[in-house]
Amino acid sequence: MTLAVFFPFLMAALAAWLGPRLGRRTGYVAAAAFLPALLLIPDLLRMPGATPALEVTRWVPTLDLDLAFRGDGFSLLFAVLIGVIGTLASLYSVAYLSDRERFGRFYSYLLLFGGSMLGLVLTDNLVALFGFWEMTSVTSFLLIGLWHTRSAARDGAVKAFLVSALGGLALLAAVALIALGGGSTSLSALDVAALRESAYFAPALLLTLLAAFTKSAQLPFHLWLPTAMEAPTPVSAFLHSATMVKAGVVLVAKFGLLFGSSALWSGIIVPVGLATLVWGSWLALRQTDLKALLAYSTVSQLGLLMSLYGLADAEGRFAATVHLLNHAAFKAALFFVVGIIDHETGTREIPLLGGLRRALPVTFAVALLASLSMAGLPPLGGFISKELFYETMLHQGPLFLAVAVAGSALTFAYSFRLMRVFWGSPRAPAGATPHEAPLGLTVPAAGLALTALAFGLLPGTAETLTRTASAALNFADYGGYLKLWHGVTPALLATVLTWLIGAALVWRAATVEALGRRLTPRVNANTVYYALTQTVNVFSSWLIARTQGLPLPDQLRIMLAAAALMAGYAVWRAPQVFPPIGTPPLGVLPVAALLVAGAVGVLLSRGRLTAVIVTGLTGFGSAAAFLAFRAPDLALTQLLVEAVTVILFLLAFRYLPGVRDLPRTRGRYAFDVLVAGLAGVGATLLVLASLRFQAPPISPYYLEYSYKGGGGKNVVNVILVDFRGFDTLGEVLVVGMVALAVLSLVRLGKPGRPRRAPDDAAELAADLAARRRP
Amino acid sequence: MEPLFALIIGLLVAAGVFLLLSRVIVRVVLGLSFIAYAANLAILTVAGLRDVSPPLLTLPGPYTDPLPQALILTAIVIGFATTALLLTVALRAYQVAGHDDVAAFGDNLARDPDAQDGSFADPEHQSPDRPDVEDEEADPAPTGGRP
Repeated sequence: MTLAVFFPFLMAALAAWLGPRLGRRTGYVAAAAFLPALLLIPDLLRMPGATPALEVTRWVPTLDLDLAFRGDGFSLLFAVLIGVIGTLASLYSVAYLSDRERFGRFYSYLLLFGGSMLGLVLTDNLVALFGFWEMTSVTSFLLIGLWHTRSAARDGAVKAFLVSALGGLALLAAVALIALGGGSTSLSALDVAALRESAYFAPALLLTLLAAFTKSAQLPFHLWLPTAMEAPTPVSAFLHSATMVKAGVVLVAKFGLLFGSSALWSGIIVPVGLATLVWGSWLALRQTDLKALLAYSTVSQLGLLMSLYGLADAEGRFAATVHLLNHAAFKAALFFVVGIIDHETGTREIPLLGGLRRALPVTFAVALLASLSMAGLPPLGGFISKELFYETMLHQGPLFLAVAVAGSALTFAYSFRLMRVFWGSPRAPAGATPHEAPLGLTVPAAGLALTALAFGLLPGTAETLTRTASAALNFADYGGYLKLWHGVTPALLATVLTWLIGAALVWRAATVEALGRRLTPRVNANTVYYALTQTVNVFSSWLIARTQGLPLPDQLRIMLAAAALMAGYAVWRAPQVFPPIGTPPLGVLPVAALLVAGAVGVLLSRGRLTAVIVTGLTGFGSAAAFLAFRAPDLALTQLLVEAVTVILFLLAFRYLPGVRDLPRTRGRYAFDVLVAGLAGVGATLLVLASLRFQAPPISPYYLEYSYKGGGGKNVVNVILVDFRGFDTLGEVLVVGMVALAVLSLVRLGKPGRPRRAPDDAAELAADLAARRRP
Repeated sequence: MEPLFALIIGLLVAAGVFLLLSRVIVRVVLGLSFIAYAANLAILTVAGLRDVSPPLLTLPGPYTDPLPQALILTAIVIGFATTALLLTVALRAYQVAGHDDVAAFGDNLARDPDAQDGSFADPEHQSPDRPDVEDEEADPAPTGGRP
């Protein structure tokens, strides 16, 4: 399991490296990354009888943070699902992506996501769960924004990230509360009874729900999923239909065992889930873009899953797990179909398309199977899980059943709307001659559609797979079983009613559309989101313009004056002692002279070269001071840095104009002299005041243990690399970040072509005028 | 000896602050360097400038305090990184603004508070599934002059 989680991360690095070399064939490497996940199948098939394996890698034991992976039936089932869909999406993308795609970037993001998602479902540690959860949000952001030159993609990525980051924060708080209440960060070792007794129970429950609802796009957080469809279609199929959006559902399923005893749990989830089911399918019916239709359809199906898991009884969990499998099969297949249509015709708009069944017979067959399953028609898997759904809702009450029927009738209607592109007279945008897609695109789709068919014709397969999770999700005592014909039951009657209403919706499509236009609410989740983000943007721009709008020197004057006031107050309050200078040893005097000469010289200098050289005097002066005061390492470092700095300045002067002192405005000169003088006096007083502190030094420890503990006789070095190694790590990070920033700034400027440094204003003006000319 | 260095440190800080407030961008960078020198010397000075052995255990004791030295070593490197970054920013600012007058940067680098930040995605209308690959090499280099 540990391997299954970490292998995709390793392969992501490999894919990033191979991307530019192998091109689209990197996809085969990416598909191989999911092999360890697929190798969990034998473990899965031993479930539910076998004891779940627990693999623990100690990480930060003092924080109770371990990389613990626990292979219970449900986790393994979902991990295998991720492996299967991940493999198919990788293979599909090989034929799907454009030649100009950046393959290294695409596949490494995809694999990073795959690893995070596997970690999310397999981990047993609450802290790691949060970490993996956030990693899926980040990788989803990267994949939605893959084509970042489009404003729609950027906007979609930011929206998805903001919404799921809100949930991520909620999850962090929830995890902390659960760990406090349950006395452990390990999911399997939690003291459930103590958690239920503790005061943290209700807040933890609500925060968990917020996390689950944002991730799984439940009302009113469904707004991010349709815009997330800006991602390439294989990504939409993998992340935004089959796996990542189900993370919230998984959370509800797993945590249902902790929180299910509370009436609050079902009382919130079931209504929200059912509302999402109906509203999502209603919105799906109104879309003209095929992918948007599927996006809203996913929203509504997630609502269905939520409501079933939210019931927190054996029947609901069984039905939900069956539907989870069915949904993954038919929805991923439909996304692949939409990708094929888009690939072949160049559009996804339903009104522009028609009669595609002649040009794309295989795709048509796949789409038919998958959408029949989505609509809940026999003999597909979707029919069976829909029956179960009705059965379960019927046990809750007739009202629940009525809502379920309404949502399913709308589902029926939009499934047929989706299929409209295959019927009628052949229609495609001008210039497109659709013909059957290559095998690389049809085979993954067909495989999923046949799975959907198998789940219906051979209900035993779905039953076996679902039962693997029975021990983990505690529905072993659920007696029902899957088959196509249960006899004439209330659920079957409800199904027939669903078909009738659905057919009516299809038949009176024009009326429905007119009704839909009239029912469009003026305020929806999107308008609220944009109003919020817009307000924040406008406010921060206003704040910056009002508080940071001054030119830099004036801004600095204000900051320094404020610092001077605060420090001045401290100096004024501190008792002042002025020790005599005494007679410094003769050897120190040249050092002092160097330091002073640099400072005075730079103030008097006119030319740019002079300024840098004179600054160098102070630099070498401080190196000399370090040498004089028994700090040989510092002197060496200072010398090196000084040399590199001078080189750096000389390089920069190739592109920068001379250091000529532009006159300060009247009044500011005096002010600047005053501020500088005050700062100097303040610094002197600060040093003098610090000299009075007589606390015992902590350094004898280092001197004593440098050799014993650190194995080095240069105490300064040992402190840097051993005792205070983290400081040095931070320093290395700072230098690394600066290097990256410098690199990107330099690349922005493209100073590959040396820019002339104009010497006087006239030449500068001429130069600028020449550049402005088109 | 420490009071002498306290005075020198004061002088270095004063020079640094004065340079920091000047209008020429390179002088601002140099000003920061001076403040960094002063800070390093201050750390060394407040620990006491004693005439003993450097903290090398191969030499006979007593030794000076090694901890300030370790701190300064880190500070020197960070100071160098800051200088490098600021110098590059200065370079870039000069290329964008076309001049090196810090006082005038605000006018052309600041954002208009009333401008809209890009366009938003319209969820009702989505474009076909194709990458808009930006071509870094082909697009014309951003020309510097925008005074």
